[in-house]
Amino acid sequence: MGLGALFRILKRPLRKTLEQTGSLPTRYYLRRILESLDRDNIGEAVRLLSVSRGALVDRSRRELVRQQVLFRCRVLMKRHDRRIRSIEGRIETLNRGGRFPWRWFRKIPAERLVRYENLLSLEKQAQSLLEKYERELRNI
Amino acid sequence: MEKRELSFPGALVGALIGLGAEIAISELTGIDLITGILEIIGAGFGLIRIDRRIYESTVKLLKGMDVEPDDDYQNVLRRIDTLTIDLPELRQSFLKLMEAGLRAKKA
Repeated sequence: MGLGALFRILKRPLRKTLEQTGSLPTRYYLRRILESLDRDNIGEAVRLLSVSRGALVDRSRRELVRQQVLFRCRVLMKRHDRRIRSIEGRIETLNRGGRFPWRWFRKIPAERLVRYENLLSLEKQAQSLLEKYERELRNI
Repeated sequence: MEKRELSFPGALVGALIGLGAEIAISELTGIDLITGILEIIGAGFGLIRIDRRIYESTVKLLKGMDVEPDDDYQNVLRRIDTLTIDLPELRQSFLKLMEAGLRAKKA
């Protein structure tokens, strides 16, 4: 039990260093990549994929997992794209209503507008990050 | 059918003979037979487990696609086609899964 606890304590700080060397078995990387994919952590999956070398026996599996990550990346990009279009549509609608001169009419839309604009910038950031990951994945 | 009786001394003798044979083989030929067999079995199980994990992930990816309630098979297929245009292996896996799903639905 003591050894198990010690192993668990040491595993966390040592894991990243060991992973970064690329010397661990490909299957270990595949398992970790699939875990990251389950959590939609595309960045981590891309990092692990670029580090893993892909031994001969596991090369086809690594390729399939790479394609899975790429596919998920595209699905998420499409989702963000749809959200961006929807938010832009709402902003446009609110801007059209901006010609009302009374403050009590404009207050809530103005707050909403700020919220939508913040949301839009976040969505665009996520989109550009996923585009970057997609480019990296195509080159792995 | 005749009922077989398990014998503890028999198992012990069998284990001792096996151990003796393993030691004799490793002494005479230098090949660690049992370790080798265990490694092959372990690697086999490892491959089966990772294949199973990859399959589960493929199913999850397919389920995670944004499908509208009024989407039919052809629509989903078209969407998969556009998303997997340069991913032939994954497209094959998806098609096999969808065909299996359709067959199960028909049955």
